[in-house]
Amino acid sequence: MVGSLWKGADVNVIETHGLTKRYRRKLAVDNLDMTVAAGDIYGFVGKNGSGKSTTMKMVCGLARPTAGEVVLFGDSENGGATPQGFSRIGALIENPGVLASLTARDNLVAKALALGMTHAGQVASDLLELVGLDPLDHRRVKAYSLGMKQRLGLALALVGSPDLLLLDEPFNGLDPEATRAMRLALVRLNHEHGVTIMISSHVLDQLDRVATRFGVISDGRLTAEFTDDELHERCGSSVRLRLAEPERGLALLEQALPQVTFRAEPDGALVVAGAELEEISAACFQAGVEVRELVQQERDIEEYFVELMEAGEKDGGGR
Amino acid sequence: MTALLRSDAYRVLHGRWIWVVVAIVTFLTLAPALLMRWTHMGPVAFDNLTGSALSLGGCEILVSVMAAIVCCDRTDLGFGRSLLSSLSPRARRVWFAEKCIFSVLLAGVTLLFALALGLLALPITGVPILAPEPAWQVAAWFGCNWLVGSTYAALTVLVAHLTRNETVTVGFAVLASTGILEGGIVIGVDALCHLAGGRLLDFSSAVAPWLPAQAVSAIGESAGALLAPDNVTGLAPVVRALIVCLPLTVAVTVADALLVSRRDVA
Repeated sequence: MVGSLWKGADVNVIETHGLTKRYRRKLAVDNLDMTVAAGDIYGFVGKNGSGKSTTMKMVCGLARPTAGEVVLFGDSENGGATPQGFSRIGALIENPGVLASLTARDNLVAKALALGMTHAGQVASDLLELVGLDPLDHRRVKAYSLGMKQRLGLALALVGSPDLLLLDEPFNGLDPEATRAMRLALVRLNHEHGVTIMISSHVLDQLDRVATRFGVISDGRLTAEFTDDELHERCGSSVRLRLAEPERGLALLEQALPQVTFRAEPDGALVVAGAELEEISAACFQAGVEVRELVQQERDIEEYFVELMEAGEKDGGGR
Repeated sequence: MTALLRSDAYRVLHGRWIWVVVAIVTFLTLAPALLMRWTHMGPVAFDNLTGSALSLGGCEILVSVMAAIVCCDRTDLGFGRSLLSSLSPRARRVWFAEKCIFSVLLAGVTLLFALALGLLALPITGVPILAPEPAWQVAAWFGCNWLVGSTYAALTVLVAHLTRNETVTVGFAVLASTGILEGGIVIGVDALCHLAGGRLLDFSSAVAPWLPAQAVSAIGESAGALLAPDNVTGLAPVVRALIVCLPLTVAVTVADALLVSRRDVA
């Protein structure tokens, strides 16, 4: 019903080379080089207006690049289109893309028929069940909540068994239960059906739970790309340290722990990364530094992403 | 193309507004016939079949507005975007052309439905027809009606895809199919020619016979009027409609498929 097991193939599903989009005076996407491998759940992170949706639109062909190219499924000529003329992409971009005057089932049947599918009714029922909507619900979509529309949007994107799913803010408007259901559905699609997924979202804690790789976009430029493991390494535990004499204490600790990173907080505290609490405590004792506070802390992922985005903005400030 | 046509047919048949159109056409056709029968207030006899006993007046407006509704059903913002993202670049061009073709077919079905209801209304009225036209003339009359309606419908689709605005598109559909837009453009050009030193009404007298609105006017009269050559051009309105409307409809469809499809989706 959904997707072929494309995950096993050792191919980049999306490759962009110097991808650029200019809208009159505004440079929406600037020379973006991005790679999404088969089987990835790629979390695409950026502030509003940073170029996420424009990039996704260019990937699925809804917008034409001003410069650069998008290579899909390793095929630069046809964008990975099937011999029947359909692309292998399903997309939910900016809004659920539903016909509000029809029922959810009719929406799916209409899309399945448009893609030339023979058992459109069965496909519709299966997909509605997959996203947790009732196939026998005869209400028109206009009566649905935003969360139900989002789930229907996901089902619409899945019509045609795409190998690549582009989801722009799929968690928008979902309550915690629906968010969880959506998250599990995405993971299942990826694990069981091998669908490669690219998700943009502001809900970073949800994104962190599903994504296997991340790309951070800022002012249209890709400022960082890393894996889930790398993210957790970077956001790993640190120690918050408050000293009686911060300047002298910092100098002594830098000598004692040369491999460790120190970051000064606005309130005068130091955040130490790269050493265990006991190690720092011992170094303070040996150096004769008076300690007023010593606390183990986890770095907030959201904070880390914001830092990356802001760093990207500073680098591209001249734009 | 066939798959897209099937999908659009499904979408239209499962929507509500198509049944509103059916109700309007049924009411406008059968209500006067029933009134005529019950009150005996009507003509003693119809002169002929087309234009007199059988009228498809207003159907051009209806089919144009229907085309607007079909193509403005949140095409760019919603379902269309979801579908277009699942089509290859070539299939996207087909999608745009299909919208024009579907509107032409929808116009044909609507006109055929109106014609069938009109024929059904004849025995209801009980009013005799003095000189019914031969079948081929009725067929030519219907064909011309479809051709002109298709032109307005295809133009409406093009405007829908260009403007991506439902209000503008429905406004265009009404103004174009009532002939107001054509008349306004011709008068405007006439005024410009006059300001440039030309003679007033020179342009409009040369162009007016070739406007689709003239064909609509002849359709409203009768099949005979539609098939009779006039003194100015020496051609019957049906021939002029064929010369103007057919290439225009094809050109609009090609432009929609090849040019408008190249634009970014909003």
